[in-house]
Amino acid sequence: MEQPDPQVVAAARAGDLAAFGVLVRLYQAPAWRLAFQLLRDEEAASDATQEAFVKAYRYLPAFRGEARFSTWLFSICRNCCLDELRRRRRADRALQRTAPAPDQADHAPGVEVRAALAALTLDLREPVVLIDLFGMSYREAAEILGLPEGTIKSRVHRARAELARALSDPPPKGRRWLSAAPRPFSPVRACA
Amino acid sequence: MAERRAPAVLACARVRVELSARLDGEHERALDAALDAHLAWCTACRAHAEELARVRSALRLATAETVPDLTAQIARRVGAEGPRARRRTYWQARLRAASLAAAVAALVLLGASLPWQRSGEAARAAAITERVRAAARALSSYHAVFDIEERGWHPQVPQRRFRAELWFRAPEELRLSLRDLTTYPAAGDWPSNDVDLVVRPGRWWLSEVTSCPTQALPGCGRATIEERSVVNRPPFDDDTRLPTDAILPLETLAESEGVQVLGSGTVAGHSAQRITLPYRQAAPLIASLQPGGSWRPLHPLDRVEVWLERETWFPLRIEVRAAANPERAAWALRHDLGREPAGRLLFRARAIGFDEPRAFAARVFDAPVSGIVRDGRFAPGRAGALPRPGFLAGLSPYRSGRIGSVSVLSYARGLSWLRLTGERGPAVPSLRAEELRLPNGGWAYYLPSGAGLSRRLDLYGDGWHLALESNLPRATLIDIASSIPLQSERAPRVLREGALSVRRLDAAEARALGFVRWPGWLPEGYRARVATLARSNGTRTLTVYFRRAETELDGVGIRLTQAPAAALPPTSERLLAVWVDGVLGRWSPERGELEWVEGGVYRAVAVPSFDVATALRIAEGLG
Repeated sequence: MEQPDPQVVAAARAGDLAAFGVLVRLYQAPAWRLAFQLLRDEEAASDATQEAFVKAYRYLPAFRGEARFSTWLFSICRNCCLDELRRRRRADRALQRTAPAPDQADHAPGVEVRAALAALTLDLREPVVLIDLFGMSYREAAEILGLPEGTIKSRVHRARAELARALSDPPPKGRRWLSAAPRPFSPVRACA
Repeated sequence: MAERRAPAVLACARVRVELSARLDGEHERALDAALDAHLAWCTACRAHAEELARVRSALRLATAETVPDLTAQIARRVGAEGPRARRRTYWQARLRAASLAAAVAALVLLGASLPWQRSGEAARAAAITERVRAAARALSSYHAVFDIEERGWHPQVPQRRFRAELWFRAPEELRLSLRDLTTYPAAGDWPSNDVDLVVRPGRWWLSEVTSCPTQALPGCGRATIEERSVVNRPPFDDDTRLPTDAILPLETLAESEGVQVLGSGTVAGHSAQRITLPYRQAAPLIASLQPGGSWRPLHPLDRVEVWLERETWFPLRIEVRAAANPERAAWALRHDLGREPAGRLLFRARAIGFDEPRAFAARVFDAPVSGIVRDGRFAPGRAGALPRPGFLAGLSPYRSGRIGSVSVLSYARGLSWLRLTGERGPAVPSLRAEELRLPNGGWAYYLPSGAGLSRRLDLYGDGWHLALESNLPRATLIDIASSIPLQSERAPRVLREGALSVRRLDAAEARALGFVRWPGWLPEGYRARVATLARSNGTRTLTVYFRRAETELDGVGIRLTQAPAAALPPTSERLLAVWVDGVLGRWSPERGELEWVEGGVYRAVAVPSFDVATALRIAEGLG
């Protein structure tokens, strides 16, 4: 996860809107993706993300740089999402919404994985999302989730094992043969 | 040297949790041996480990949902929060007179283009590059002994040991003696991987041991010692170049982007700077210790850590570790490598002694002529009426002469060198070369170093084709070229061959084509260098190369191909299906290319030294 220039953070803390804009651009997309993984609903994710950035702007003076900026921001985003979940109890309804559309089910390797991911309980889904979708370290995930690293380690393993069970017929070695459309076309490559 | 201890015995439940963590490099390192020992006999855990790796890959390849752009909404809501206590900054001064609405608009617009200073770390990496260059100019002699460990070369030979001794005298005398100290298994014929290399001004000689492909060992026949020599070797010849990066990592550190400074350390009592960079960039460093012989392959994303001695900048210690990258497992499979979890040590070289001797023993740089002999056809002497540079960046004249009808001039100082070759007659630049304007107004064609070739600048004019090759940085090369008294012309924009015509375009012309989308994101340091539009039989194809300034290891960098088309071209390659922005595309792990068709346009992103995640990020940022 990219970290912002410390000068940008300092300027944003001092109230510099343009500097805060840099931070928004850096983290808006991953924050939304995290919210979506937790809430499984695009509109709710958009609401929670906006809420998170407003809170971040408000509480920025209190951020002293002991943690990484991304950790701090994702903690806020996560808390906004948990508030949302508690408020509207969307977890059950979200599971229904992520069933793949029938015409996609045949040739979309990603859809099966995402459906299986959505089916995980939140305590397993959060760690594996942070580690595998966001590429965070166990330490960062532990800070964001407020859990010991050992717990992260075991939950990531359990999540992966459950996903493996759910996807128990993967294509061999993860590769697929693709049959091409019949119309002949070759891009003109002028040089190697 | 750590003592060997019997590894602890672990239960399957514990092993499985640690294996999952090992995929991320987050396991308990002390348990490495125990885990491997368990896997050696437990097929259930082996199967489980494979499942975990598959799931992990699948998660990473399942591409992102379409993320909405919330910047404007966030800006509005944050703007409505009202003013906080503000300290004046440069940007504040600009916004002072604007209304709140304008300030909000500024947040949205400026956020993407603020010219923030390079962070402290990037500045440190750039400083190291400068120091290494300065040290290279000052170096006149070198002698060192390295202890080398290599792992994973063959399933039956998990670890190999070597001792390498390196002598160098500027500008072009070098000897490398590599001795294989490995104790191979008793059964079978194992080649002893000894390598000897001697290079001197007119000569080159290499002795290595050749055998059947590593996968077929042992027991496929006897190994033989093969010798190759070159006589009449031209100065700074690309094919027989001196492997000097182990002395000072000039090529490795040509770009400071991608280099992370980790801090200081101590190696063998010497104070050193620790840096880390991907193998893709550090390959010349490792290759300089492996000029011949049989070695295990390394992945472009594998992590290389180098300890540079604080005063001389000599690399004292080099470590290569496996990357935490989901595609690496498939790459390892293609190369018949065993399981290599993230963080596993693959290669290590340590200098056990080094100095800058005033004199060398009499026969150190003697190069025999034996084995297969090739004639470099260099005849020392006058270089004819070749136009010469007025500015030489402090280098001194070295060897000059001719190779056939080509005149050659060379210059050197320490490890820095420059070669100017010239030939009369018509010539055209490579279509991969970047067209640029010299300070003196002339036109030049630039290619970064990589794929076995040196950094070069080609000039055409007054009936001459001149080529400047060097390990000096690009900016210096441009200055030297500008000082040559030659009116260098612009090459023809269009080349035709039968029904095929290729036109060189500026970036602006390329972007203006209706079917073209331009990258919104590229890895650091990458810029568009050359764009060509090829036309043939009614099809049009735009090819754009994005590269870094100094070096591109694979010679390609990032290649973006776009052409109006209805469908992907047929292929018999084994490919991976990948979603690109909601469209089903395909990824070739071997070529490192992502292809898809969308809205009637074929697009392909080729990134041979990166991974599918990078290709996807570029693809999804096209706009």
